[in-house]
Amino acid sequence: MITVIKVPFLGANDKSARLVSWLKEPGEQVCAGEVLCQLETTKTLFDIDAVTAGYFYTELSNQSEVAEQEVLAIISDAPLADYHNVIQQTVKAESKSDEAEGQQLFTQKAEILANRNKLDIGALARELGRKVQAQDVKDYLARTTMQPLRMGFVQRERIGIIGGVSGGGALIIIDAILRQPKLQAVAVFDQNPAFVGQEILGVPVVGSADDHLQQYLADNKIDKVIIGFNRNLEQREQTFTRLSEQGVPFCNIIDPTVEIRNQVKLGTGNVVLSNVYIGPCSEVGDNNFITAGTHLEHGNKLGSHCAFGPSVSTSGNVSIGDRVRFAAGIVVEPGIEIGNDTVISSGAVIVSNVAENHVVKLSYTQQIKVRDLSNN
Amino acid sequence: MSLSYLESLQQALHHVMKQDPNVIVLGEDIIDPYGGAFKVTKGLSTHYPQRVLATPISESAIVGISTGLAVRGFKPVAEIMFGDFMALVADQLLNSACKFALMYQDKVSVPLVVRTPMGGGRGYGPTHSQCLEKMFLGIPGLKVVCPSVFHDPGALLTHSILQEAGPVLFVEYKNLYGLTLQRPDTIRMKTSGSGFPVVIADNSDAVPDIVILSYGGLSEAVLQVMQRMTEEEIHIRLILPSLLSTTMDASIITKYINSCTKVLVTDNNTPGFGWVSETVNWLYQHSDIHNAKVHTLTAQDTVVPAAQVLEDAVLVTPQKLEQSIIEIIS
Repeated sequence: MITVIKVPFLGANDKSARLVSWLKEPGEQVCAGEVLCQLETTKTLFDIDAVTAGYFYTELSNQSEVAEQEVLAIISDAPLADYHNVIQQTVKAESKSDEAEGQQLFTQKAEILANRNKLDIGALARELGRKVQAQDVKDYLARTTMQPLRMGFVQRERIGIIGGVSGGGALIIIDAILRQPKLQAVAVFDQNPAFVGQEILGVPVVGSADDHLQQYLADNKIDKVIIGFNRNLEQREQTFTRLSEQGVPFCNIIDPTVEIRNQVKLGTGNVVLSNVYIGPCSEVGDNNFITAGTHLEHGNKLGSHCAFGPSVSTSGNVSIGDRVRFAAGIVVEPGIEIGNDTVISSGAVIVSNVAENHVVKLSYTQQIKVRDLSNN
Repeated sequence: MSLSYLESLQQALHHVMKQDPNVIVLGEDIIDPYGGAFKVTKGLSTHYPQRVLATPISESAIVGISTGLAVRGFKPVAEIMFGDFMALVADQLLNSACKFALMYQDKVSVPLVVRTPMGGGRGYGPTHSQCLEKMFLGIPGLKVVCPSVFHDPGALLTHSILQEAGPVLFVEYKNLYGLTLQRPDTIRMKTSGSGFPVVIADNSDAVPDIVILSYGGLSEAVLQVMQRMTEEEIHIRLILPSLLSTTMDASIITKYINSCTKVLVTDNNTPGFGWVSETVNWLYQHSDIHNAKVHTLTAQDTVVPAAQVLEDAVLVTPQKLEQSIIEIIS
């Protein structure tokens, strides 16, 4: 067994002392109570006694300066062949045990924060398996007490709008988005540099989609896109097809007042605006632009990339191809088929099928003249 | 290697005696080989035997003679062996040295420095452990200077001796003499003002959890606590003036205290009627500080005992400081 002899408390004035001289040689047998050496402080001399009997070993020489609590010597109950090693290990073990005493499961700041919030910091330390820092407590509190919905931390789907500034398409899409808390219009991509820097109902116009769209997606500033222009339906189709192939995600923008009834199939990239009705069991393709007040009755089949002016009404079971342009205020009889790339002018009542690549024009004349007020 | 507080003072005295032949050092037992009770004057009498005067045991006479020397153009530096003996000096200082310039419309000046060690923690008992600087605050014409372990004590002493036209009571703290002036890397330090600067020390770059105002000997305990608290993520800002007889500039509040709502003002004096209460008053006179809670911590309202355990019970210790800090910020 090894007994450690340390420098004792030296008094209020000194933290270290001079080792005057050893009275024993390393390896010498000593009795309990025998004086081993004397220490000198600024005021007095101390005797250091052997606390137990045994073999005395030290590595300190006479006149060394020794600090309070420093290992002075060891006393072994059996002679030691290599006492240097034993002393070094003893010194190491002593300093380790000092360190171990100071090991805490948490910082005091962490403890204060935990106490303020009535959090069991011991449990948190066990959960983390390491010393708890103030930030750990903050993270834990954030994790356990946060109610995102109540705090308004709601993720909205961020929408980019491609084109449609001059024709007003972008405006009516943003107007529909602004009525929906789950959506947020972030940017309008328009190739006309004159519009860049302007805002549409608070949404900035940032420049062409070719120049900016990929960067917005890469920077995670937008989640989905929609096409805002509808004058040139070939270009609308090409843009939709090209971006879809590039993996750009499209969405449907559907105004909250829209009625979509049972079993309607709806593709993507469609704009469906105020008070549109889509009857049951109808199918709508992709990338259509359906403006306010349009009614598509039950069993309709609408292709893709079509544009509707306001208040187009179709009866049941009407089939409409791709890239069909309806102007405003049109009525379509039941079961009619309208081919691809047709154009129907305002006010038409369609009573027979329209083959592809045809234009339906009305042959009535509109007279506008000054009212004659002389005869009441 | 960095100087100790004691070595810095020793070197300053050697420096001023070399620089200015009018500097005269006088006091009890200051002649080599003893060199003074706390060794501040060690080596001086060997180099300047004509200008280092050992005096009889009469503190009143030491300062009286020094005042006369100062009036006649010398720059006397009087050592009073223990601050407790300042009671014997009070009359000479208060009724003569500090008054002459004011009474004679600045036709005379009294460039006198009285150096003395204050404070307990050494087991010296009730009449050798006091902090009597509070008795000398508020005397017109007297500057009371007290370097902390964060200051350059030698520079403050040099400034007091060579630059000050009026009397200076230069308070040294016994517990600081043996300490090295080198600060650990974890402590960031700046100073404000020249001559007798204010030290601002932080144990972190973060916004402080607490601002501590103190001075002199207690800077050792605060430094210890600051170092330990770094690991505990408790951010402490320490503000240490070196000139006690004038309250600090208001800019110290706007720059360094306003951001914190927890303030502790502490020294090792008896409670009340001293630097701590005056500093609290100064803080409250600045409306900006009104949202902060100002706490105080002082020694007990009793004499300083000799036994270490009892001394610890009476004086402010690092343990008590730490406990106060934790209570305040909890």
